[in-house]
Formats: sequence, structure tokens, C-alpha cells
Amino acid sequence: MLKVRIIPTLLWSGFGLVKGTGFDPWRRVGPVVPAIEVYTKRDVDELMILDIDQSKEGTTEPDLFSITDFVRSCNVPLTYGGGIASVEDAINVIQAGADKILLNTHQYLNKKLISELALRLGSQAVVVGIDARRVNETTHVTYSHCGTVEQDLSPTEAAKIAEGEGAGEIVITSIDRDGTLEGYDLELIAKITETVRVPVIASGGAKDSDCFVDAVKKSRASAVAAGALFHFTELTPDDARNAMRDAGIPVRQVLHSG
Amino acid sequence: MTQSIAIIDYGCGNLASVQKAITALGYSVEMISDPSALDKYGRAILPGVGNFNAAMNDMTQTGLTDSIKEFCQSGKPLLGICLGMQLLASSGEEGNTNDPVPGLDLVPGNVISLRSMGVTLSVPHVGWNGLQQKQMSELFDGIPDGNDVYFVHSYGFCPDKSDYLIATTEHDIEISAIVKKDNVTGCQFHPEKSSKIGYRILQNWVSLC
Repeated sequence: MLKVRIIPTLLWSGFGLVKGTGFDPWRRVGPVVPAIEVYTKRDVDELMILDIDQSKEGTTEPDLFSITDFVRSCNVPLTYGGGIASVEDAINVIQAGADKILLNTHQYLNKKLISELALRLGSQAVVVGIDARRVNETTHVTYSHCGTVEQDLSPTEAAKIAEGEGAGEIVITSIDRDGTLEGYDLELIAKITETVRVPVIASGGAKDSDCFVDAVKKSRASAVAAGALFHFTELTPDDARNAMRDAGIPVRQVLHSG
Repeated sequence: MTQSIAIIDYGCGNLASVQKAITALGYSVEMISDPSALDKYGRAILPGVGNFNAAMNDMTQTGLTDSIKEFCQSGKPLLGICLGMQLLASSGEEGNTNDPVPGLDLVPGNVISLRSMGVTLSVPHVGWNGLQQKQMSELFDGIPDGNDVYFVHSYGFCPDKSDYLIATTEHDIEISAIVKKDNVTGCQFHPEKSSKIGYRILQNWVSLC
């Protein structure tokens, strides 16, 4: 049986890792490579690294030199996002050592990009990020460019399009909850899992292992992502894994011997 | 003959991760894209992230298809990983559903979509899943049955004979996880991304050579 993944999200800006609240203001949380080394030693299920400068600008290319540096210390799956605007960018990022690429802003700028990437790399390497803000009790609006540009479609519409074009996974992030440690927007996550059949990764606002359990049991997420939770609290991905196992969720068995 | 392990570079793959894993195990590796260079090596890895049809086209155009077949005919060990494992098959329907594309035909079988195999759960099959050992193999030295390895794929390898099936995993239905015919081995999962267990499988494969 497939295990539910716990994915630390690393946001990278300039020379180090940052973490914000609601996609702003960004607080420095340290250098990238040592963080990856710690997560690797802790045997996390997967890592996601997002270059927020690239996604905000929407104009520059992925920093391949840095990506090469990051993957050197990583022996678990790594998804990279930020500045991927073409098939060539994506191939470069994967050749630099990432396993999957995450596409967000450029899915809206070039509507054929998801399908081009899926055709060239296979759907399984193409993760689509959808960032959304809640506007009222029932409605969410989609944003690109790191939460700065509103898109004229709902997150469920965006998810449906992404799946139809060949996205292999969808990361749904609540901008409102991001960095708040208030818990996921479970409704938003459920809206997406009800809309698509590809795996959905819950993101934005994780506060404890209980909300991981809720994202899986109530909102049917296939994986849970967290940034601030692992940066700023004592909870480790391993603790979270144990708590989820106790709650009856299938999680990965880790080999403890050499 | 050089003792290095060749990693076959056909234009699209997670080469750096495989290279890093083999290097971490203490072996030297070299990236090979020139078909004529392959026969200098004693063992080779065919990695993979990509599309079956596109990869076969690229490899055939560059002449890698023939040189990989010759390499295996000479009895040298080849390890295919993920798409690299699927390319070992006789044919694959990814990128051309109605008219499957010929593969390397080193492990007889066909690569078809997980959906048409009957998977109703999420596709792609992404994540950590248990490795069920179907046959005794030195590849499993030190690896408990059922431990999790990392998968990420939308197509599955259906071998012509169960003899070729060394390990499986379960995602609704049984899916090939390791296939092997003589000196040719293929892992559907990513050993280079499967932490300690994956590194142990790679170590075991290199030790077999």
C-alpha cells in the first residue's frame, strides 16, 4: 500500500532559506545545504525546494548551479520549483538532479507548458502548484507570481485544467494560512481532492501532526507539506510520521540498520 | 576495461542522483552519451525520467539502442531504473497508445499504463511503497521483505513470464517492482532516492557484477 508522505518545504531566496506568513514578509531561516543535510539524516520522505525570487519575478531562469549544490546532499526525492518557463528549463533542472519540477506561475503564462512538460518528462515528473486565497465562506481565488497576481479562475478550475493537461501531482497551498501555524484550510484541500484523481499535496498552515491526520482523513490528501512547522517548532518529520501511524494512516517504514 | 560504472545519458534522466549514489557507495562512475564508448565499461546503468516514446526515439537516433543491446549480449550487467527499467521491455505504449513503440527487448514484456492495468487508485503511482520479494535474490541481501522504496511512475512493466519478476509492489493491483533476465535487471522504483534501502540494493547489484 502506498504510504502517505510528509514533505518539508524549503523556500529559498537569494543565498538562504526564508519563511514568511501569507507569502510575505520573508524571514531568514538559514542556509540551504545544511538544512537539506539535516532532513536527509532524519530520513524524510521527500523534499520540496521553491525559489521564491524566481516565482515572484516570473522572468528569470532556474539557478542550476545552486540546484546542483542542493541535490548533492539529498538521497530522497526532491521537487524543485521556481522560474521553470520552458521544457528546456525543466530538463536542465532534472539533469541537475531534481526528480520532479514544480510549475506554478508559468502554467498561467504559457497554457501549453504543462502538456509539453508531461509529454517530454512524463506526468510523474510534473508537479503543479496552485496557490489560493479564501475570499469568503465558500470561495477561493487563485494567485500566481508568489501570491501577487490574481488569476481569473478558481483553484478547482485550475486543478482540473492542470490534471487535464497532464500534471502528475498538485500541491494546493492556502496563502492565508501559509506560515501561520493555524492549521490547513481543509475545505480548500478537499475541494481539490474531489476534483482530480492525481495525488494532492496539502500545503499552507500546518500546525501539528493532528492537522496532517485531518488533511489525509478528512480532505483525502496523498501527502502533507509543511515549512514553518518544521523550521520553528520542535516537531520533526519523524515525530509526525509516528503520530500518523498511531492514527492508522499508512506511513513509510524506515530502515534503521546500516 | 575500466572498472568504472557507465551511466547512460540519453538526454533526459536523473543522472546526478544516480551518479551521487554510486559515488557515495565508493565506486567510480562516468556519464556516457557516445554509443561507441559503452563497451569499455564492465557494467552500466540506464536511468530515467521521461517518456518511453521520446526516450526510444532519442536513443535510436543517437545509436545508443544498438550499443546497449550489444553490451547486454556480451553478458555484462545492466541496471535500468524507472523509465530505464521500462525501456528494457519489448514495447511501450506511452506517447503512442494505439501503436506501441518497440523497446530494447532485453526483458520480454510490455509497458502499459497503470490505468489500463486496472489501477483505480491515484495515478501516477507516487511515493513510498512496500517491496514484496517474489524470488530469492542477492539483490535483497540485508533487506527485510516489505520495506518501502520510492516509486514515481504512470506506466507498469508486464513481463511475459513470471520468471522475470523478482519483486512487486501493491497499488490496487500487483505492479512489477524489479524485473530480471540473466544479466539485465530493472527497478521500477528509484533506489538512488530510496534512502538506505535503495543504497543497499544498489550496493547489492554492484556486488553481483
